[in-house]
Amino acid sequence: MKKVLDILSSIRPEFDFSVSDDYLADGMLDSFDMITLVSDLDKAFSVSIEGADILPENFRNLAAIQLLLRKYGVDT
Amino acid sequence: MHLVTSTKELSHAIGSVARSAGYTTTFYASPAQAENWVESQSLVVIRSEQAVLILRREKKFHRLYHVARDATALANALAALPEAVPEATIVADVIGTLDIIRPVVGAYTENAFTQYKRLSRMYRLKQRLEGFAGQDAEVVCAAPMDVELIQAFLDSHLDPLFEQIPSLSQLNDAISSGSLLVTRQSADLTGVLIFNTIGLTTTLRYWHVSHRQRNRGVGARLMREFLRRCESSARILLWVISDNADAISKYRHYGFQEDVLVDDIVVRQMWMPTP
Repeated sequence: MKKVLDILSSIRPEFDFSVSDDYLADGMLDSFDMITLVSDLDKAFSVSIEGADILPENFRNLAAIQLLLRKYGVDT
Repeated sequence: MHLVTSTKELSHAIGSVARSAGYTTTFYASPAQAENWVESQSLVVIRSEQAVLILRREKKFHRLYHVARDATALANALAALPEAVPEATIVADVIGTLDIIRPVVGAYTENAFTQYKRLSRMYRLKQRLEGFAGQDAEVVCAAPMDVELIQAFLDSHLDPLFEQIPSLSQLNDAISSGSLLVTRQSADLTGVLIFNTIGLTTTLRYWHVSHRQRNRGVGARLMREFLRRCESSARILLWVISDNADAISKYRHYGFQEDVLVDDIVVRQMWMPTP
C-alpha cells in the first residue's frame, strides 16, 4: 500500500492521497495523470496493465488500485 | 469505419488494443462526455489490428483520437485515413511529455498531418497568505441571458482548430455553476473568463479581453477575481500557446509555472480557415 501511495505522491506531490476516497472527483488525478500512473505501476510491480483496464473506476482510490493490481497477481 | 452506438462498444474497441511499451492514446474523454458524444451520434470508429481511430464530427472539421499499441501501429492506421474520410479536415491533439509524444507526432506528420500549434500546460499551487482584497464589483458572474453574447465573443477570439469553442449548453452550465466571469462597458462585453473546478483542481479554460480594451487592466481584474474565487483550490491549471512569450510572462506574474505536459495540435487540412 505504501508503494502505491508513494507512486501517487510522486505524480502529484501537492495532494495527500491517503485521505481521499475518490481521487478523480476530488480533482487529485486527471486523465493524463492516469496514464502516467499506469506506466509507473507497470514498472514498480513488473506488470502490464491492459488497455481494457485503464478505466477511471480502477484508479478511483487506493482500494480500487489495489484490487486492480491483485488481478495481475500483485499483493500490495 | 462505423458509427458508435453505445459506450460499451467504444470501451470494447479501445480495450481491444494490446498495451506495449509504446502504447499511446489521446482519448481522454470522461465517461459522461463519451456518453454525450455517442448519444449525439458524432463518433465513428476505424479499427485496425493494433490501433483504433475515433473520429468526432465538429462543425467544420473532425477531431481525431487514437488508441494504438505503439507509434508504428498508429502510423499504419493513419495511412488508411484518406480512404475513410477523403474530404475532411482533421485535427488531433497529442498530449504528453516531449520525449513521449515525439514518435507519436511523427506518425501523424508521416501521414499528411502538419504541426499547427503547440500548447504548454502551466500550473499554480495554492499559495499561502494570498491577501486578496474583496470582490471586484466590476467583475461579475455572467447571467443566462448573456449566453449568446458570450458565445459570439468567444467565436471572434478563438481559433477553432486548437481552442474548443464551448457549446451553448456548456456555457449555460458554466453560468449556472458561477464559473463564467465577465466585465462590461455599457452593454458590451469587454472580457470573459471561464473556469472549471473538479474537487481540489481548477482549470482556467478561457481568459480573453476584447481587442479594444487591451492594456487597460481588464484582464488583470478578471484574473485577480478568478484567483480570489479559487482561493481554496489546491492546484490551478491552464494551457498556453508555447511560443506566446507575452501570455506566459503574464501567467508567471500570477504565480503560474510551466508543467512538463505539452499538447501538439496536428492538422490534416483540406480547407483554409478565414483569418
